[in-house]
Amino acid sequence: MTLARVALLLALGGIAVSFVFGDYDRAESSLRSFYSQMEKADFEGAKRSIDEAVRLWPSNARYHSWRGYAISQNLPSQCPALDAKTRERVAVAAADYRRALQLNDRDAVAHHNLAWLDHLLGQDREARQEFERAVALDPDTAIYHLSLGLFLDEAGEAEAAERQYIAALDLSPGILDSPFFTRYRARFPQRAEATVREAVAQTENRLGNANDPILKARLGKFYLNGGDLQRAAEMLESSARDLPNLPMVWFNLGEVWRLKGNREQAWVCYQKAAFLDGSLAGPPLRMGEMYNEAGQRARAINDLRSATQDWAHINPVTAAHNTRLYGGIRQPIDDLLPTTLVWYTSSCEASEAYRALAVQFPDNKMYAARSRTCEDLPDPHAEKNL
Amino acid sequence: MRRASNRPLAVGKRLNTPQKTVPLRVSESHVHAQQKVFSAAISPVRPPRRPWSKGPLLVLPAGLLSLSSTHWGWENLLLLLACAIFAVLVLRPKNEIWPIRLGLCDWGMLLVLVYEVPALILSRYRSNGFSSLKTVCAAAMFYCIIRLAARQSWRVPGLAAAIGTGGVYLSWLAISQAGGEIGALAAVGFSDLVSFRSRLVSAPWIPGEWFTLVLLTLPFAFAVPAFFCAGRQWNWAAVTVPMALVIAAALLLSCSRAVAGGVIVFVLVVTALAAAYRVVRLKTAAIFAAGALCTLGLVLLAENAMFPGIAEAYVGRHASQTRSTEGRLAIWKRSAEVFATSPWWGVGSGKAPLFLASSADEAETTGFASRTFSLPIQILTEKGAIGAAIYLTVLILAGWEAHRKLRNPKTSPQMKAMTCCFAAGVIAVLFRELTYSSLLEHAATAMLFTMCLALLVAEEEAA
Repeated sequence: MTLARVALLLALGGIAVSFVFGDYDRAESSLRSFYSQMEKADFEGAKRSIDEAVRLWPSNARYHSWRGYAISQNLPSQCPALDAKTRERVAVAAADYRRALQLNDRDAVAHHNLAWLDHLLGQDREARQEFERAVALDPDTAIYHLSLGLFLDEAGEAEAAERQYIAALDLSPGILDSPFFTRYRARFPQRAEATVREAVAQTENRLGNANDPILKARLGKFYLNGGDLQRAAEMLESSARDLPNLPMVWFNLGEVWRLKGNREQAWVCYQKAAFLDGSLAGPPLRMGEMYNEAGQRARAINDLRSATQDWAHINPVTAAHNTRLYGGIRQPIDDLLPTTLVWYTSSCEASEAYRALAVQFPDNKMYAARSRTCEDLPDPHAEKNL
Repeated sequence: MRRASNRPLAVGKRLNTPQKTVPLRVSESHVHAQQKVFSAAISPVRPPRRPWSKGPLLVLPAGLLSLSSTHWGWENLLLLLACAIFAVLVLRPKNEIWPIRLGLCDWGMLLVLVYEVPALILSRYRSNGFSSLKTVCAAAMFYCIIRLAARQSWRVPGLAAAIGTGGVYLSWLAISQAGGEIGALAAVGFSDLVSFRSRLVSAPWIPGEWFTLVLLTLPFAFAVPAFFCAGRQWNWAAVTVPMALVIAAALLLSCSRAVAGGVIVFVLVVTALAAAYRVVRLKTAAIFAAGALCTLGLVLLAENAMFPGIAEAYVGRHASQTRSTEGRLAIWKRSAEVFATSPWWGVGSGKAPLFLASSADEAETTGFASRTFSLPIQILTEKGAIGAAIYLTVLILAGWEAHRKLRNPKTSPQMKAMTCCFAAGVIAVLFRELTYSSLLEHAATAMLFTMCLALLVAEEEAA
């Protein structure tokens, strides 16, 4: 056997494999089109693209998930009784997620979204299993805990729901600024306070005498939310000293300085946060407000518009994770259901930014109309919770 | 490199009979004719007949090129490589009449390919493994191309110079990007570069993977001056040394101790191998090692003067480095659990992150594990004990063949010097990959690594 013959065989094998992969590569191109169409809210076009991707690579679980997601775009963001036509669409989307999970049962996003669709269909036993599976597969992602908590809350299991909320807060204290927690606090003030107290206690216990900058950053956010600016500053400064590359630490430190009345220090912190993560809506909102106060209208408008854009394009942490888990093209879009869930459970800067813009442009009806964006976001389980 | 004239032809061996071996010394002008006569008459190795004609083969590369004309990147990589194989087979010079018989390392590479197919079939979610299979296929095909192409001594330094020049370009890109980013960081008020090391290079890839790619070009860049030094062409050696220096400078700018450690390991292993195989005298090797390490130190000092804070990455114990170490340990612990679930075949190529995604351990704040952060652990987890044994076998066989080549007194000093560089390159990259897993993430890194292996085992033939 000579190397030349082996090389020839390899080349022929390479051509054969290449033709198999050729379809897969074309499927990836269709996925790229799907992403760009979803970003432009062209759901019909996106559906066609993902159908083509599924046709070319039917064993790719992710494509089935995306098709389910595309079908779910016009579904209600709450869980009311469904009409027959909507119910049929929900069932089709759920079938796609089931197919995806048959191919790859380790996809936490697919389990989570299937749970939501099952819940819409009234199959709560299956929904619960899927929510729990998502949490078990990816216990470090706060939004799965929140979804499960909301589901349990609706089912009347307040204590179990609270445990999930505590776990979510523990992982991501930024939830305190979300429409979800604002409403939770308004509806159940005592429960909300108990939840925060428990989350703070757990984080304090975990930190102990250790020097974990991540836990300090989380505690700093908790103290900031509780109005304990001194301790918040201590924790956040310590965290920023050890790990100065965390954008939210700088943003929260900026909030501490702003509340203390030190605008210069706050400005520096917001600048750092914006530099480290240009997709955060908080820093441009605050900087826009500060420009506004300083009478620099053009800059203020620019930053405020940027804040609304950043908020509108907020992506869950699962998007970044999926890019790494499945390789290929970077995922630029949200992937969780209901489609408003990420906005509902993340810090919401939209209302403040639109209100400020409405003041600058009193004739612009769109700004005025959107000045209650955060307040108008639907609760996934509104009817029973209210 | 005219050594064939002195090469004894073992007739008995070629006859493959118990006949007594009769060493013959033939003149240089008759060597090819002698070979043809012996081959045609008695050799089990085929005469220089081509089992195919050039005509149809010339059509193949053209056809493949037209097929792949829409995309020239990852999409059509295998087609392009197949095309390159045909081109190499068709265009090789007429004087390359001896077929290359499969060496140990070649068999090892074939074994890897043979393993990957059932491994993919037996893995849990096959679609996620196609990309890895494509990478391995591309690496194996590229290995064949290099083995076929690097048949004459001048081609090895030629290929090394080409890759080295590419490495210089990548390094220049990294240095200029890092300069810009450090300036931007300073403008916002950040002076601690160690925490921002992952931002210093905004290459198309993740910086850690980018630096692995640059590290892979170091042995090639270094092999060129080594070739000239061994041939006592000092002027050319002096001209080509800066290639390696630019690459080393870029690697030191990574602020990664594993990458910098890889550079130091490369220098030490090159000198140790050169001394052990008597390419240079022990004293010369010691002076070279000391000089090279001092040069690296000076480069680091110069970089620290330009970008204050770079040296801190290598002397201090920064909080981000501590967290990075703790995170790696936690991920390795999770990897051990994943390995236990599928110890023989592994969970499948490219699927470790799916199984490592998160940990329910509340004591951890490591979070999402995007990779295993260690090539050996990645191979064990994804390819199981069987796959790990096969991959290890390839390395051992390549090492054995390199050892034989370096011990062979007929190997020219230039070839020996370059072999030392490629062997050191392989070891340096493996050292870096002990705490990172990027080699199999991209076709470019896998292909450069197999190119290193191919040149390591490349035979030396008459020009």
